[in-house]
Amino acid sequence: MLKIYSISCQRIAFIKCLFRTLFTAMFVILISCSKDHRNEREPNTFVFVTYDDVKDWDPGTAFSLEVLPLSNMYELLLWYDATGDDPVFIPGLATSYKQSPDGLQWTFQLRKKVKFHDGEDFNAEAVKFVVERNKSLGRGASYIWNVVRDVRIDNSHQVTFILNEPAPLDRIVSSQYGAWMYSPKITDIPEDSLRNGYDGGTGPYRLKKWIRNGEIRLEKFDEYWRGWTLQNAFSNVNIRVVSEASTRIQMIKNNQADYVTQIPIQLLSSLQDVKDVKVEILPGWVNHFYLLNTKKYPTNDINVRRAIAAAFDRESILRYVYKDVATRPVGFIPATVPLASSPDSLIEFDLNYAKHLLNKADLPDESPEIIFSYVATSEEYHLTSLMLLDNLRKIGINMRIQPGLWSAIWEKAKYIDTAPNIISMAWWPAYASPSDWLYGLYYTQNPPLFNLAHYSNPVMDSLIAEAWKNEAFHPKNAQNIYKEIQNILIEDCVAIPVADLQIWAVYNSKIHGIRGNPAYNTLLFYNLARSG
Amino acid sequence: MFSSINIFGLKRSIFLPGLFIFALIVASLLIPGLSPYSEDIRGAVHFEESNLSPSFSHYFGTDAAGRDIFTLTVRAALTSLGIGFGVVILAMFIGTPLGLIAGMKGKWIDEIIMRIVDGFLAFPPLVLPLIITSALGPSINNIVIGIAISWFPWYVRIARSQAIVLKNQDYVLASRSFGGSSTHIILKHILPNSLPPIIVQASIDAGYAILVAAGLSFIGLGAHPPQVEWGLMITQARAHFLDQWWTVTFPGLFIFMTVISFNLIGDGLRETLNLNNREE
Amino acid sequence: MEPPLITLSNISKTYREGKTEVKALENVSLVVNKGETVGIIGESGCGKTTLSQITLGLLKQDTGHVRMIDENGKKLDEKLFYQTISSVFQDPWGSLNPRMSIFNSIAEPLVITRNFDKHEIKKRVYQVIDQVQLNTELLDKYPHTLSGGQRQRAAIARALISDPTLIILDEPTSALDVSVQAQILNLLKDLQEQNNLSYIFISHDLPVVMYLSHRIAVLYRGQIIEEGSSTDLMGQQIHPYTKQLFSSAFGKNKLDKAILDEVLDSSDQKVGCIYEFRCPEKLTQCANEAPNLIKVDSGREVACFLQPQKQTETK
Repeated sequence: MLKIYSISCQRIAFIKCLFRTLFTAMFVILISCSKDHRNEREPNTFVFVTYDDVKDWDPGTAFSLEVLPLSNMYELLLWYDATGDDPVFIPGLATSYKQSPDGLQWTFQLRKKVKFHDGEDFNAEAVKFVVERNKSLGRGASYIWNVVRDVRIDNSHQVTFILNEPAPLDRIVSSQYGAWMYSPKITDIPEDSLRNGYDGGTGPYRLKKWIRNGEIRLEKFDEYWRGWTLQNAFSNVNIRVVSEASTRIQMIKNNQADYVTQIPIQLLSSLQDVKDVKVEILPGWVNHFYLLNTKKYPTNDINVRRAIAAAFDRESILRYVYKDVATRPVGFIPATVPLASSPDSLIEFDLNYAKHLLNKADLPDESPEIIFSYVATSEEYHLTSLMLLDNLRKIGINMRIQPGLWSAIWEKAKYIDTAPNIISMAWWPAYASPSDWLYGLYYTQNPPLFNLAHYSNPVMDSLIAEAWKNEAFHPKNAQNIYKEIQNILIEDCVAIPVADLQIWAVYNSKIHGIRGNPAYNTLLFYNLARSG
Repeated sequence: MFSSINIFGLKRSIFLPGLFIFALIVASLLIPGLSPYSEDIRGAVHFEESNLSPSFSHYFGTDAAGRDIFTLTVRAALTSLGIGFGVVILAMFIGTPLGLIAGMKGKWIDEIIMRIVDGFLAFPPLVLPLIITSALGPSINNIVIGIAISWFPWYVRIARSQAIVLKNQDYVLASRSFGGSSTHIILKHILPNSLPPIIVQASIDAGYAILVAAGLSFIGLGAHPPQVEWGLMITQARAHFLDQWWTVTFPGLFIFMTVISFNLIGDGLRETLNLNNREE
Repeated sequence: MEPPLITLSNISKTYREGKTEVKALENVSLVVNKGETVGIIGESGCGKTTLSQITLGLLKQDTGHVRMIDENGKKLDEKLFYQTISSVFQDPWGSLNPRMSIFNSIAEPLVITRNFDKHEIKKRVYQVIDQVQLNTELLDKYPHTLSGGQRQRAAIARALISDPTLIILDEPTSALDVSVQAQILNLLKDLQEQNNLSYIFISHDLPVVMYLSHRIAVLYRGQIIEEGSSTDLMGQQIHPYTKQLFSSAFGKNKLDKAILDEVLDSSDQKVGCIYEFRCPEKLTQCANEAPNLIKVDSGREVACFLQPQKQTETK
C-alpha cells in the first residue's frame, strides 16, 4: 500500500503545483491589471502593438502584414495620397514624371543623393533592377509590373518605363506592395539572412533587430534624405506581436503601447473614456468578406454556396459586431475606391430561401458538414462564425469552426485537401483600383495565392484584364466592366461581402501626426511625434 | 473495506462535494427544459442582447453573442463531467489490466510493460495530450483519448503495486494451491481487491481531467462551437474578460469548484479506506 | 505395507535476492502415510512455510521431488494433485478474500476445477459447512463480519470441499484465542477420523503439534534434525535442540531467541553443525563437521554426533 500512496502523493503534489501555477498566473494578471508603475519607457521610442508577425522580409515578394514595417523601411517612386477628395500623387524617390500621349512610355526623374541603408546609391540601375527582379520572382504583388515590357535607363537618374499597353503607371509605382525600391545588393544576401530579417531600403527607418513572433525593432536612418527636422520624432520604433486582444487593450490602457491594432470593435466604447487613449476612425480601403470554396465538397455546389450566402445575416453582424466602424458593402470592392462600382444586388439574408436553395442542391448527405476557417485574432470573425453556425444549423448544415493564425489557415486554404469551405478574408489593395481585388482574389491562380475560393472562370479572367486596360483612358468602360464582373461573382456566389471597414486607430493621445491614407494600410512613423 | 462504505456512512468530506457534482449533473440534464434560453445550448445567437451584465433575467449575464451564460455554464457541466469520467474510465480500462498482469507475472513481462509505461511517463504531463489531440484533430472524443493515453500509466503503476502486494496474500496462495489459473486469480482476487486505491485515484483524476480538457479547449484543441464546454467558453470570452468580467468568471468558477470537489471526494475516499484498514 | 501417500525426497530450496542467498530448505525428506498426521515443528524462519508451499506446488524446489501416488501406486497428474491435496493457512484474516462471500470462498476449489454445476456446488458447500459446524446464515456474509474461529472453520470447509486425502495445516490455530484453538483442533481431529484424512501439521507450538500428530519432524534452519513418533519424542529427545524445544514448551526454560536472531546471517557459510553455536552440549568436532540424519531406531532419525553414545546407552 505504501507504494500506492507515494504515487498518489506525487499526483497530489503535481495538482498542487498546478493550482499554484494557476494562482501565480492570476496574480500576474492582477498585477498587470493594476496601475502600471513601469513607465520608464524611452521617450523617443514608439511602441506599436500588432497581432501577427512578418512572414517575408523580401521587399520583392512580401504581400501581407509586412506592409507595416516595410513601408517605413522602403520608399516608392510616388506616393498616392487619397486623403482628400481628389487623390494626388506625391513625389517619393521620383521627383517628377511624365507620360507619352499614347500612355505607353512613362519617364521618371529620380531623386539624387539618396542612399540605401546598405550604403549603395539609389539610381536608375536600382529601379530597373527592382522591376526586373520582382517580375522574375513572380511572387507576391509582382503582377503589378506585368504591363511593363522594359525599363530603359536614360541616364543615371532618369528611367523610362515602356509598357505593353496603356496603363496608369503612376498608380502602379505607388502601389503599397511590390513597388518598394530596394538595393540591388540583395542578390548578395544568402536566402537564410533574407528569412531572418533583411533591410535594403531608403526609408526613414532601418531594421535593427527582429525577434520572431516577438518584436521588430526599427531605428532611425540618420542619412535619410528628407532629414530629421520634426521635433520629438521617434528615433526608435518597437513593433510588438501580441496575439491576445485583451493584452493589447491592457497595454494601451497602461501606457505600455502607443498604438494598438485589432481591438474588438465591441470594446471600443469602453476605451473611449480611458485617460490618454484616443480612438479615432480613419478612412480605409479594407473590406471583410468570406470566400466560398468552389472546388471543395459541398460548396462546389453552387446552390450550397448560395444557400450559405442567403443564411448570412449581414445586417445583424454590421449593426452589433462592426458597429460604426464599418459601412454596408455595395459589392466586392469598398465603395470609396476610385472607379469602384457595385453589382446589381447582393444576396440578402433569407433563411427560407436558403433552405429552398439547399433542397435544390440535392446533396448525398442528409446534413452536410462545412468547414469555416477564420483568423482567430479577430473577434469580429469569431462572432460572425457563431452567427453563421446558428443559421446554417437552422437550414440543416453542420458547420465546423476552425479558428487559427492567419499564416496557418492561409497555408491550409491553398490546397483543396486541407482547405476549408469558407475562409475569412480582409483585403487592402496593392494599388488603388478595383482590379486589385478582382485580380488578387478571383483571377485563375494555380496554385492559388489569395484566390482561396479556388475560383476559375476564363470569362472572368478576360474581363478583369479588359477592365484594367480601360482604366487609364476609358474609366467609364472600366467601371461598367467591374459591375459586370461583380454580377458574375454574385451569380457564381464566390464570396460573401460583409463590411467596408474604416481604420479604427487606438493610440496614446500624446501621439501626433497620425493621419489616415486609405491607399496604405500602414502607419508612417516618420510623421509621428510625442507631445509633452 | 471499500464495500462497507454506503451512502449513509459517507464522511461529510465526501458528502458535500458529492452533492455538488450530483446536483451539477441533474441541473445540466434539466437545464434545456427549464431555461428560457435553452436555444443557446444549440448555438443560437442574439447579438441585440450581447454583453449584458448579470441580472434577474440573465443570472450570469450574456456573452458577446448574446447567449445566456448561466444556461451555457450549467449545460457545459455535462460535457466537462463526461470528459472527466470518460478519461478515468478509459485510463482505468487500459491501465489496470496491464498493471495487474505486470505485477502478477513479474519478470520480463513486467519489464516490458513497465518500460513502455516509463516511456509514456517521460513526457511532461501536458505534452502528450497536446500531441495526441493535435494529431487526431480537435474534438471532445480525441481530448478524452489523448488525456487517457497519457494518464493510463498511473493506473498501471497502482494496479501493479497492488498486484505485487496481493499476489502473496494467503487467499491468493490458497487459490493457487487449488489450481486456480492466473486469469481466475486476477479476476476473482487481485482485481476486486486492488480497485479501492484505483477508484480513489480515479476520483481525483476526474476533476483534473476536466481541468486539462478545459485547457486544451482553451487553446483550440478540444471542444468547438456549438458544443458547450467551460474551457471553450473561457477562450471565446477572453477578449472581453477585462470589461465583461462575468463572461469568464462563472465558467472558471465552475471548473474550480468541480476540480476541488473531485479532489475532496478522492481524499475522503482515501481516508475512509485507511480508517477501515486500521480497524482490521 | 501400504505405500506412503506423499513422498518428499531430498528437497532443497535456496532464496536468492541479489548476491545474498538464504538456504530455506536443505535436503529435506518426508513421507506421509494414509490417515496419518505428521507434525513439523520449528521456530519462525526455519523453513516450515517453504516446505508447505513446495508440497502444495506453490513453489518450485531447487532439487528433490514431491511425489503423490494414487491407490494403484501411479503418480498423480496435476489436476488430481490439486484435488487430493489441500491446505488451511495460518491467518484466517488473510486466507479469505475480503471481497468474496463466504459461500464463494468455500466453493472456489470446485469452481476452479469446473467439474461441477451450480447445484452440485451448493450441495457440497452445505455438506462441508455442516461438517465444520458453521452456520448456513454466514454463507452470504463477507469475511470481515466473521469471528476468527468462524473464518478458520470456513477455511477448513474450503480445504475439505474438493474431498482431499491430504490437508496441509500451516499454523491453523496460532492466530486464534486459546478457547477457539481447542475447538478447531478437535474439529480437525474429528474430521480426520470421519474422512480418513492425512495431515501435515506445521506449527511452532509444540503442545498443539503433540496433540494432533502421530509423527513429528523437528525442523531447524531448513533441515530436519530429528524425527520420530510423537510418543517416542515425548519420552525422550535426543538432539539438544529438541530437548530445548520440549523444555521451553513444557515450562522449564524459555527458548534462547536472542542467539538465534544474532547469528542467523552468518550461518550460511558455516561448515560444521548448524546448531553448534547454540548447542549447550557441543563437541569439538561440531564446529568442523556437520552430522548427517541417521536412523537410530525404527521410525526415529537424528542429526547429532551425540546420538551414537545415547544409542549405546539405551541398548
